[in-house]
Amino acid sequence: MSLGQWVVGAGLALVGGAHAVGVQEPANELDFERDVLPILREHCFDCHGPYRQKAGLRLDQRAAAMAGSSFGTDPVLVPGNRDASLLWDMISSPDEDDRMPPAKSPPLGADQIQLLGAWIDAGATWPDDGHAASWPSKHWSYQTPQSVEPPGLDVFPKRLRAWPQGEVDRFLLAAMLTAGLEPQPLADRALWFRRASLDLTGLPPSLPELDEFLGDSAPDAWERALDRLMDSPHYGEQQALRWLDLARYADSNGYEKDAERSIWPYRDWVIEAYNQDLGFDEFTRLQLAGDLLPDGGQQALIATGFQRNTMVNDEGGTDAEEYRVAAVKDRTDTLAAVWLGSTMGCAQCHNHKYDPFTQRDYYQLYAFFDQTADGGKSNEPILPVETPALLAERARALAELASFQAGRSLPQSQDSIWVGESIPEAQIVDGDWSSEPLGERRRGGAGYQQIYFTGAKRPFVVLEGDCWFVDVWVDPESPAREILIQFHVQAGNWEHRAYLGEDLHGLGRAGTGSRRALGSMPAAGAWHRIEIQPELVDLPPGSQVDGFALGQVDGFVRWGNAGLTTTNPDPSEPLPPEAAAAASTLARTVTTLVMRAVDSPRTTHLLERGSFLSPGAEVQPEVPVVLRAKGQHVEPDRLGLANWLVDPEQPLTARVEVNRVWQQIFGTGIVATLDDFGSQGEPPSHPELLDWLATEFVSHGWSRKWLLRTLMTSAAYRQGAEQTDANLRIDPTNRLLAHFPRLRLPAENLRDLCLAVSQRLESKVGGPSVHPPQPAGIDAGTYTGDRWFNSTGPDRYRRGLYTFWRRTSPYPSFVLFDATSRELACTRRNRSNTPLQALALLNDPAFVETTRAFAERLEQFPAPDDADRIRMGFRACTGRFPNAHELEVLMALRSSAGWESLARVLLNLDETLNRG
Amino acid sequence: MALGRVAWADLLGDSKSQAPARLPHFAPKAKRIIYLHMAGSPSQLDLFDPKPTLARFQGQAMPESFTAKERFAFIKGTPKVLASPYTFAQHGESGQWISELLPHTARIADKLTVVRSMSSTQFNHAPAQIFLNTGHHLIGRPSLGSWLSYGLGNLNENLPAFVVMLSGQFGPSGGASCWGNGFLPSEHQGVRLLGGAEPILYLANPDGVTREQRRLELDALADINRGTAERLGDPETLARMAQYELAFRMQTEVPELANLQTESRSTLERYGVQLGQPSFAANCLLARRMAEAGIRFIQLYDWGWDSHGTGPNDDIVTSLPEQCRRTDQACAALVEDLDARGLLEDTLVVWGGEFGRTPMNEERDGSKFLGRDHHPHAFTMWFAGGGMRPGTSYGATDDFGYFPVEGAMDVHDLHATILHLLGIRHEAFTFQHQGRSFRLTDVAGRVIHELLA
Repeated sequence: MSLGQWVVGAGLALVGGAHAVGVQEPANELDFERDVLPILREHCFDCHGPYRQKAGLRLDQRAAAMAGSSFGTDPVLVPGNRDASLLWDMISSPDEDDRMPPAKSPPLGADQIQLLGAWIDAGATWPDDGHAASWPSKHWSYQTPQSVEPPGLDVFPKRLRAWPQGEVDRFLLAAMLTAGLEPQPLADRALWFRRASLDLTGLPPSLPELDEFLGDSAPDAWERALDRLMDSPHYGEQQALRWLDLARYADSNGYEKDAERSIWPYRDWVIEAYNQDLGFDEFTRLQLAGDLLPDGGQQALIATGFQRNTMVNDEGGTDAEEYRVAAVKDRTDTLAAVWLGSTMGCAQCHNHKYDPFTQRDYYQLYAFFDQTADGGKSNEPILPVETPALLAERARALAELASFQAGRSLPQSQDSIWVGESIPEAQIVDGDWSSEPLGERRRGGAGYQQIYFTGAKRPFVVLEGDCWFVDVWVDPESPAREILIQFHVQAGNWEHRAYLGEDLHGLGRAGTGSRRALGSMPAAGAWHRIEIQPELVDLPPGSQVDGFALGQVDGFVRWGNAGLTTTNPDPSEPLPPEAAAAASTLARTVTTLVMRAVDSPRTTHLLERGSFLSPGAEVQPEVPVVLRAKGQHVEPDRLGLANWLVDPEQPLTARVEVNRVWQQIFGTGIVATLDDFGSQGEPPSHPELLDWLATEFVSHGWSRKWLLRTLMTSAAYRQGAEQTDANLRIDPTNRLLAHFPRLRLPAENLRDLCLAVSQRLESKVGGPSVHPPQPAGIDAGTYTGDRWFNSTGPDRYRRGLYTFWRRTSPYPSFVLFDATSRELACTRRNRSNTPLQALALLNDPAFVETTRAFAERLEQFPAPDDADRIRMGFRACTGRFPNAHELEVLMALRSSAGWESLARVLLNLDETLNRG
Repeated sequence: MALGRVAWADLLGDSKSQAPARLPHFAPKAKRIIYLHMAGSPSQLDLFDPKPTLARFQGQAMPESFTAKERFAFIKGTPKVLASPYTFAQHGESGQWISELLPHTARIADKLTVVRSMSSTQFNHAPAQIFLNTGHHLIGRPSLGSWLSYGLGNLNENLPAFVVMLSGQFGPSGGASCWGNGFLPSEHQGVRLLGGAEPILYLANPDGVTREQRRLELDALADINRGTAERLGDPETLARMAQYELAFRMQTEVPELANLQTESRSTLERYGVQLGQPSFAANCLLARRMAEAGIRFIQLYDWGWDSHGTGPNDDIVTSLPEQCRRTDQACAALVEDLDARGLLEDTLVVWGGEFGRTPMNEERDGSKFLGRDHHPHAFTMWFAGGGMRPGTSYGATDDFGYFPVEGAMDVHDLHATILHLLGIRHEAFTFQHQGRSFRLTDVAGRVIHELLA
């Protein structure tokens, strides 16, 4: 193909200083795809393409190329004028040092150079590739937010000038008026207070609290009421509820076995962080990089649990690397959704189709998380947590057990045989336990051999000072190389082991009670007593051992008696309830999953098609190029990443967080697509308001309390919820907030509300997750043997937030009310409205229990008559008094169906279930 | 204010924003699906895919050409070939090969479309089940039933579109994620039907609350909520009122549906149902009733097919025949019953596990019990009704039953074919989420036209 075929512009250009090219009659139109793109692809994209943009120049996308470079101010392409186009200067430069491509690369042919020149002159026709991606991107959300002046009051009609209570209202009112809407008048003050109580603490106001607020006529009564609510410890609980959806917090590992994990200290950390109003910048740093902070301490480590909420698959034969990689991807996707409001998942396999994130960008971000010590099959690393409260609780439990023990002790220890000629009655007995005559229980063979039983009907209880013993005779003909003794605890596991001899079997963790070394093998040919201090195998006083395994490796032994040396006259006698409760406290060494850097750094590769089996090019930790300020250096570790996220220049983080809090209060984000601020997301309904909030948020120390106060002191927050026809016609989804948006309470808060109004709520903050009543058999289908035992005592009445979250069998009524599975980060819960929800509120035994308690409360409420009792109950549920008709209906119901029915109706009122 | 009957999926508050494109895309062959998932995965080599070659090599090392680069769930070292201890015969006019363990299934051979060339990419239960249900092995995508609930809705406005029933000692390894809604609105998740007096969670009134009392409660509730609706004008209030009424109707309709006592003695016997005893057979009979009632997607999980051979409870000598006895009769009865009632024509019945089992003995820790490890490369599924071509054998595996050599069909193909039967073009059935369109078949899937009637 010769150049002469092509249409070229009028100007003649010189290449190499002397060589003129003639112009012939046109034969063909230049086609970008066919003629130009191949040249660019072959010669330019390596340095100016999706992966690298040297000199800030990107030539694989039209918008990016048109946007220019960081090399001087000359435009790269001026359609119709090659001489004004930097591209032409560079490819046609006579100076070899200046010319592109550089000398070390294959040069462009003269005809190729001319073709590009001709193409520019002909208008640089470049069909829009449909990719919004461009570098630097002009998309609104990738520009650092600038401080904005809110509309002045004078733009509003006089009668509305008094409406705005602050800057937020001015932005909102301007948009309403433009659309032809006006706000609702202020709502009843009692309703404000109910709204605010639910939004800030997740609990309805008590009647005295309500009266206190209504009786406060000072001008700043509202501000002080908000402060009081934010000072409540329940404030942190309620805010944590939202964050835990993002953190995908759960109390189990996920996948088949879905075993229980202990990470509730992280949940408590989140609660406390909100209560302390930790700035979102520090909140971010601690969760992403608490382990890398020089003096972070235990709390900073606990905070890194955010990243450890990824799932773990310990199903047999699982490739640990596959699930480690899945967890690292999950962290990357979560980071993108939670801090960048960006969807990155599709860049796992290929460049993002719509947004300026390349596959390389993805794996560069992924590389930050690839340097972590966790694996895909286990929960390591785990941090033992010791807080003053926990230590005090343990001391109390020890005292309780000691007093139990003191009441029944023998004067001195004696051997209490558990396994002798016979073994205890147990659910599962495996292997040959026959033993006649005693001492002839010869066992062994090649490899690991064991006999065990578990689920003993009468577990053996360990008390202070007890010692396990196992009599053993090692066969001199064929001596075993290792002896392994394992204990199983009731409602627990086998992670209590000790071994003698070589460490061959390798179960548990070396140096812990799950694999305790007791020294060398005893001499062969003689009976020997193995003594095991219970503490060494994590069996604190009160442990109830219901399973026992005797094993040996490569050789033979004979097993004799085994049991406890104890002052307890009968270790198989069950503990009384108080002592059992103390025992379970002691058995609970509190641990939490934390993040640590890996010891020897990994090399991170881009994964072809996202597959962990197909590593591609090596990549280094780096933040997405489109979001990085020019010349900005980001330290290549998680701390660097966190610091970059909360750099005020970084365009997304502050916007994304204020948008999320906005959604929490007003139901829908200013950007409705919370996790997509990219080109496919919805544009902001109030872009200037979003930027005003974002910049003010940062300048107020990233304080969420400031942010909430700003939103909740607005007139928009205090207006009525009444919808007019105009609202429904002009703004059916209420993005303009011309009336207050009603929201059905989230699952956990429905439970909280019922507990609160029935005065059953146990208001303890924090601690291990609890098991409120759920119908029997709900979890019968789950793989793990851990079963749901309904909590008794105060734990039965804890807030929804503390309900044990098993991923494969989530709490059933929460599921019905749109709680998420906590498998992946969720930025926005659905709010469905289904008949199953009606059934749950009417019939779920947990709700029925609180309904009955509420009925009792109503009936016994000190009031002159039933009408007053009903008024009180109505008000406790809805924040307002019933009108005459409502009272009449309820009075009639009370007399025809009784207090329980009355209580149920009050708890099911639309106004009760909604924050409105 | 009178409340008309309201559709299950018609009152969904803010989740209505993304209504699916008009579905179905074309006239469907199947209107509903009964999916019998044999959780744990049955041994195709002992049930449907006879391999005489295995007998010749019984006990010998499996050729390394098969196993060299394999990752197994449990097998260690060089595994040995394990022939099936069971006899196979051809059945019906179609001559389908079925083993002696499934005499009842053999009886309906001419109604079945048997695919012996299925494959998965996953060799562990939870990921494989999640893959089979959602088209992706990691948790987070909607399941087939949720897609159908979302796309097609239900045929009965008073019942959920997607119900799940479990039998056997455990539920599927993938747990509730197997019937999860993923990113679809949550009302499309599978509703688990429970055995016993309360087939749907929280369906029964609390002890001591009569139906009359409940009516009084709901009347009072409606009265006050109506005032709220008039005052605030929130359409959600009206929707909620309607849901309470629907719930009230479900309280009688669902137990009627779940009450097997109205079935004739001969029907109960045909399925092998013991009244009052939860079982796979009872679930099959319930499934037929659900299909009649117009439920779109009925999924049964039966646990206990994970025949590793670590003991008599999971081997192919004792446990597998027992599993077959528990289920074979009901599977055949279900297909015949649907057929007799004219429902088979537009009801697709699907049977299968999440993967197959190895042609090698697992011998975990030197176990003397015969068993097979997980095998993703080849397994058998069968289909009946709903537009599938009856009496058809499709696909074949190599002499060792290790890989498909003919008519390979993967999980995406399965989904594409099922959607096709329901009148849905799988490429065009998408949901916008996190900035991109998702579909059940991801970026793959072919409709296997050879299977269609």
